[in-house]
Amino acid sequence: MSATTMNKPNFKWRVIDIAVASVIGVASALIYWLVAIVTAAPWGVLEAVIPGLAGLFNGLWLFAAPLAAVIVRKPGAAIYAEVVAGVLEALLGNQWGGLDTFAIALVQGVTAEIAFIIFAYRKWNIGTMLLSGALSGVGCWAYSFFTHLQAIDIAGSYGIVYLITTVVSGTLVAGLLMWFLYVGIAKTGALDKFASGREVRGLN
Amino acid sequence: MSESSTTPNSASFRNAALRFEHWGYRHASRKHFSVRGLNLNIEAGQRVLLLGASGIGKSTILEGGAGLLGSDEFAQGEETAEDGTIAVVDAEGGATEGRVLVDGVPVHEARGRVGLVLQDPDAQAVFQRLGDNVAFGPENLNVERDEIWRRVNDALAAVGLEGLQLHRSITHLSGGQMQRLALAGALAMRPGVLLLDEPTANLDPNGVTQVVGAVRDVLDEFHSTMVLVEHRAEPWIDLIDRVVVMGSAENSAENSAENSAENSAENSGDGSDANDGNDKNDGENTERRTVIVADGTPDEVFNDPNLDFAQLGIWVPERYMRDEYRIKPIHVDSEPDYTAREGTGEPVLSTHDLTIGRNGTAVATGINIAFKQGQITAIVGANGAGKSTLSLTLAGLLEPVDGDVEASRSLAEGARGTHPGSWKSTELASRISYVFQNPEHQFAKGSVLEEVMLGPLRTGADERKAREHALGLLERFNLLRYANANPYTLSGGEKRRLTVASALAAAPRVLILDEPTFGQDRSTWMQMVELIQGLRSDGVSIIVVTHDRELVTALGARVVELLPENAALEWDIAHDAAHDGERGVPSCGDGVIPVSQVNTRDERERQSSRSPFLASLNPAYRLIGGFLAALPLLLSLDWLSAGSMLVMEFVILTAIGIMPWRTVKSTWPVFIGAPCSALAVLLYGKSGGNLWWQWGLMHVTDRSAELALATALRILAIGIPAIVSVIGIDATDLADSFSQILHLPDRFVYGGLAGMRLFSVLQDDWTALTASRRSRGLGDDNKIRAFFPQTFALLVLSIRRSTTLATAMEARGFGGTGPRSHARVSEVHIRDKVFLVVCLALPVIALCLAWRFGTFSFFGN
Repeated sequence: MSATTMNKPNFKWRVIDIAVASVIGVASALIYWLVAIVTAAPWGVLEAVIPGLAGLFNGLWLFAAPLAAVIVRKPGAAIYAEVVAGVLEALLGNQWGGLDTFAIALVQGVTAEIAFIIFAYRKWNIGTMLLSGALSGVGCWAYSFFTHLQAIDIAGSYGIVYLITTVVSGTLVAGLLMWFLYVGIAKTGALDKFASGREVRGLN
Repeated sequence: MSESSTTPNSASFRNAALRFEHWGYRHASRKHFSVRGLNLNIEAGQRVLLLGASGIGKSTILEGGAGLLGSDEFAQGEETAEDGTIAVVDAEGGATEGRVLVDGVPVHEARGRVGLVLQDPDAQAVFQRLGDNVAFGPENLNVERDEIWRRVNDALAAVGLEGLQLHRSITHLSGGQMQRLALAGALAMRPGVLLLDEPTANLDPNGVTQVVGAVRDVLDEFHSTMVLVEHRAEPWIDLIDRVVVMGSAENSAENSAENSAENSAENSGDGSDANDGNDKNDGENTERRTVIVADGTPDEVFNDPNLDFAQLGIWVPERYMRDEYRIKPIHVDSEPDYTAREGTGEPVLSTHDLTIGRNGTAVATGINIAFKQGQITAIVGANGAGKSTLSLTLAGLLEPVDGDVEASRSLAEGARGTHPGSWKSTELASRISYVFQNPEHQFAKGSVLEEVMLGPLRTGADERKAREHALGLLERFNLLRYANANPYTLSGGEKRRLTVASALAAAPRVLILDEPTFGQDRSTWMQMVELIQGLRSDGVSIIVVTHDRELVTALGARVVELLPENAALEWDIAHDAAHDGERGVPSCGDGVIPVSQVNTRDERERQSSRSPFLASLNPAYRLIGGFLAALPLLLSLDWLSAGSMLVMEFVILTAIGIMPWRTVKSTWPVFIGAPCSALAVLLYGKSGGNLWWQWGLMHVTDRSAELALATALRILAIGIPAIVSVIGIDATDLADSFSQILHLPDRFVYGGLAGMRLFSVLQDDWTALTASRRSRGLGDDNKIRAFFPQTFALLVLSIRRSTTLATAMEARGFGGTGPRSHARVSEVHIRDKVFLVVCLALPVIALCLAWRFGTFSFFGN
């Protein structure tokens, strides 16, 4: 059997790409909401130990973008998944308040996307995922200080600790953990219709 | 809505011929073609029943016929087989050979000529409102607006749903209604060919009758060509004029390009074709060929003495039943001497004046039933009557609303109390096991072996023992060869056997199975029945939730029917009903449990805001207005701009009909968030002036206190309009507005909208996952440890669901490159523009005040 298969990436979105990216956004919105409930108490505890330490939780609200991007592998996937999650949360209403979630989702989606733009959507490995997670952490941190934490000196101890913890959390949860999550999902065969899934299962 | 509109434009409704020319398709995950070299010619107006075992490629044929496979638009390349056949590789990694023609036109160019209805009713709805779902297909075909609504009304009338309001939410429709809605959605595209992929597999008998009736009316009226795939064909057989039977044969070298198809490792195949099961051991199998083993009228095919339908995995319709195919009580070698209906000994589980329901809403009260060892009880009743509510309550996975479920002393021995609901998760796992309808709700481990070892390990067995026990079960369930495979990659029937094996591994005394035989072909069905019957010898009390009559017959089970008020009994039940028995004494015989009525509600059109003014605005303008009101405030962090803004907001909201207490109630989250942020600012904020208090890094000063107050006020001032302006917006209206007013691309807007509709489905998935983890002994883990595996399972489920959703949307013509019309108009009026001006004016006034009185503080500096 001879085969001539083009391996150049196809940047055009298929319906299934749109559906999967949006449902990752929706599932993430559900998980974000559950995380908010679970972390409410420990958040206060961590803040009391070292101010800014609670930023370690932030990665749990950042993962939709890198995950959607690495699965779908189309330009804008990170932004799209975050925006879907953000719009949904805005319509449902949550503790950060309506449009605020939409805005922060947009910022985090854009910063997460930057990692993949840098490599022209051709590098899909653990490295780009870590970078994406870290950048979305930066976006999250910057948004917080631009809006409701304006009164805190961004270069002061709180600002620096919060930056470090948020970026570490973004890198580990939204980057590293999502990479393994993606590999795990691919192994179930659920991603066989995607180049990303076939790569893990050795089907290409 | 006028009567004349019910006569359709017959030219656009012309029936069409469907022709497969040497067609074949290989899924990305497979080594072999699902179907290959298929030559099938279906005349216009013909009504074809396609039969065959699961995994034989029937769904692949329908998807191919609907033009959903192998679109050239995204073609990735070509490959040439040994015999010179050229296959086109698509972006999904699949390969297509040959072609499919609709009236001589390649199916990809004949958009809208073929309508497809899928098995799962919930997976096919894109919109929340009933009418919008029907309008979706015509929109994608760029049909003009008035014509769309004419078609919507025609299509709903054709399937017998004309009485329902178009704005009605689909959440409260029954399975039968949902499936008729899906049919209406296909009909509104005025297709020449209707493809139905197991449209009644998920439905109760009443739902089946509704859907078959609707299809009959449609065929009588429009003479559409139809291809039906359905395992249980009896209710359909009157409509059918041609039966095509697919079977498989070992592949021989000289025939390699003829009608071949990959099959599962064993003949059992998939529990459901839609499930795309695939095997780890593709390469080890000889390639099996799918061949057309019979083709003719129903009489010719079903009366053909040379066909062995049992071996083909096919259910024979009742009227053609030969004695050898009739389902009789099935007996296994190890069977005990008491009957399955009666069981033996004292009851192991009983209920006392039990009231069941969800979230405190009762669906049935005063239930007194008991379950004995070695007894098989079938809980039957219409979809939505509360069968799962009852079985989950019995399993200790759902709290009773009132009354209680009590375990016998021997069952409860060593556990905390006698109520399963209050047991620890590990105590539950070794006593009562629950097998969920969807196997993927149950998987918790990365390999089949670990999956079965989980129960014993959790309930105290050591590693070696657990492994031994698990290997024994895998052997018994014919799954040993998959021991190291990922559970998700098994076929549907194998997954189901695995969930039963892993439920049994913890050696429970009560086993509850939710729809264990649903959607299965005759061979997989038979295996499952024999497995269940074989468990009786272990003294297990078995409860099956089902509407499969053959299953009840084959098991010889006792029947308990849940019966909605005013409904007639569906099952022939001897009248020693649980209710008529002595009060409070649980019955061990057949019974009827009355449940409160389902599905009787009328809905008023939902208002998108408590304020009539806000509700009348365009959703995109509401969104933009919310931003305009909020964002400028970020320029200054001071108490005056924030405070004055807050006052203006309350005044204006009151003026447009939202009372202050109502505002607080709907925005309460920011009233919690604001003090928290203020506290952070108070302790760590920029300092200045007098030092009030200091401890470690914390400094409370004049300046930080002032900033804290400003922060709290500003979070409220920003949060309130940001929430109130958008809360209650209907997602569909917002999507229409994004598309028509902001001109965002339809593909993304409606793709996102369709995803959002799955939110409630995923919430239910999460609940099911939580319950299944409790049932499997994983429920005692701390929240954080349990969170990640459960999240993983949810994401896998969500991706499966979105893949089906994409298929359903494409089947309605979504995703093409051509223009699209809009059934609903998103309008902008003068008041929308006024709204924006006011929204912007408020923060500007507030900031000017701050400037005038010197409190303006740019970015808090």
